[in-house]
Amino acid sequence: MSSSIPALMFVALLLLLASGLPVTYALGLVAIGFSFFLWGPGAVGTIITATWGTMNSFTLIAVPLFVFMALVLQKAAVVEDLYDAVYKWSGPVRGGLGLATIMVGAILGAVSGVVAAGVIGLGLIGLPQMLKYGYNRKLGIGAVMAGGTLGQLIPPSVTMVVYGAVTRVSVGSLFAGGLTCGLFLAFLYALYILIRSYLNKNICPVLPVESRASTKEKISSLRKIFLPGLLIIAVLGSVFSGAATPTEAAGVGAFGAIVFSAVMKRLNWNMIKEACLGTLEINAMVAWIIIGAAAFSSVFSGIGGNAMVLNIATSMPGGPWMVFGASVLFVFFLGMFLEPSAMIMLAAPIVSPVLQKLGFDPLWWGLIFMVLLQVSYLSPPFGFALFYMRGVAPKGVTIEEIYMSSLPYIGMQLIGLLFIIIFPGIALWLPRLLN
Amino acid sequence: MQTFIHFIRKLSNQIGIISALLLLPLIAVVLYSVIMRYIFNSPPNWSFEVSLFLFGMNITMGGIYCQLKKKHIEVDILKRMVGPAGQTFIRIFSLCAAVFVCSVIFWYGLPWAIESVRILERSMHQTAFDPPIWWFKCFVPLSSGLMGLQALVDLIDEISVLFKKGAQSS
Repeated sequence: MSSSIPALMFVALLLLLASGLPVTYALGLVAIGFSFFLWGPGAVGTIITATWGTMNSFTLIAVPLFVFMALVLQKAAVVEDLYDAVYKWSGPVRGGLGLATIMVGAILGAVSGVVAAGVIGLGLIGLPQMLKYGYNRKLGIGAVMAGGTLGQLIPPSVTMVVYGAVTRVSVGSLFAGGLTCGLFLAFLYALYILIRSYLNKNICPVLPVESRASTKEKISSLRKIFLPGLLIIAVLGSVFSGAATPTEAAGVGAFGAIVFSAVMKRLNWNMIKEACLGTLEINAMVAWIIIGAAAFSSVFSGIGGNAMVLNIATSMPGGPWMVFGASVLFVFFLGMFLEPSAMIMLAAPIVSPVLQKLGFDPLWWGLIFMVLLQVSYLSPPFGFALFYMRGVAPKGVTIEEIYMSSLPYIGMQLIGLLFIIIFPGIALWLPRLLN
Repeated sequence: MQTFIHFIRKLSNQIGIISALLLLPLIAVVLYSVIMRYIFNSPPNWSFEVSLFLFGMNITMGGIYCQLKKKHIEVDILKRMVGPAGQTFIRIFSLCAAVFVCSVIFWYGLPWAIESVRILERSMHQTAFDPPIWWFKCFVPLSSGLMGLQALVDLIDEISVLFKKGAQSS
């Protein structure tokens, strides 16, 4: 009987989430309810410990700084310039606009690491272009969602900072591994678009000659993205080389973004204030989810949930790889319902120590977790990229069509995941090189 | 009652703007410590804790603004499946949960913060700076209290709209 209580906590959480409760309150409510009924009123104070712990997490300070950097660069119209540059270069290729969308998504990922910004930006700028030139709608919508989601995997990434804060895996190593994993996924998406467009030439027509860019335009389009590119390379480089902590690099990046917007003559007080408020909305939202999830986790482990999982895992027939497979399925399943930082807070403390104990490389598993988060953004019914997409989709696009568009890209993600599992080098090559 | 609702919303908005702008000193502190560490090789001993203070105030007080602007993320799939009456019901249920959770944090956080103020608690990070932190702990009951108040105001608003509709249709 008592062994079913941890499972009951998850069921209660999923029910509350499905009923439309904000994620942080659903987590808090379950934590408060279970601690009260299991241990009495004195135990409810765990939620205070959770709040205080989050307020004192030095690693998490990188989150608002990275988000601020992204918002300032975005307000300085980097997305438009970027899309403009890439799309001018990819005009003559069949499926070129689709490839441009994926590439811009990947580059944007290096600028921001906020998935909402990636999907919404590409949806507003890239999708209308693709539809204008007669692209298949599902292919285009899927490309926007898959490309926009890459920001979570390509550093700097908010979710990696959260994962590092929870599991003590080095954020710098996660960043380095995320870069190669992200580029690998981008390559798979591009491959998919290319194959589709060569099998059926009506799906992604080539741009008509008159709307292709001249060489001069191509060169001048590159000039505009030179400075932000330099900033990103400096920020990531200092984290990769171990010269700076993610928080330090993010602080310098945030300042660099302000300088950049001043150079572009787009700096003004109103823009800074808007960026601060936009950062606050994301940062406080994520932080309160972390608070709720930390309370949930400590109650879960307090009632023996973690010990129970470890017990089941070690007695499972089939050995470590069976446990590994079950963990992947567990995270995948949670991803269909939960917000990414809540997923990390809930699943990582339960699953990651078990896998480490069984001899799996914690960094490698961390990166597999990150790729599973990619899937969670796209997987129906609750993938967040799907909702962002719905917000910016042109009229007449139904949620069902968006669901259908995501399926082939989820397939590519799963293929990518399989490759990373079979060839760990894809994930671990760069972090090892840097160490 | 309307003036009270209006006052709380205005307060939440102002708190949001102030806590959002804390980001600028946070950037300055991180930048300063980076410059001092890497160029002058003498990192300040206060930057670690000051940046935690700024970050902590930013997230806790930011929760109030998120409540005001409905930015605490939720899964709205059920909301889109039911009719307007069902949507109102879900909103009221969510707000009740918000008021409850915030009240619990306030209720447990208040004596915890008062105790810290009483002993004028100092930092437990063991840095040479060793700042007082009792005031920082007060942000737990303060922010949860105001966040709950904002949710309560939204709840009152929601219910009064419901009553008005009821009065019109009967």
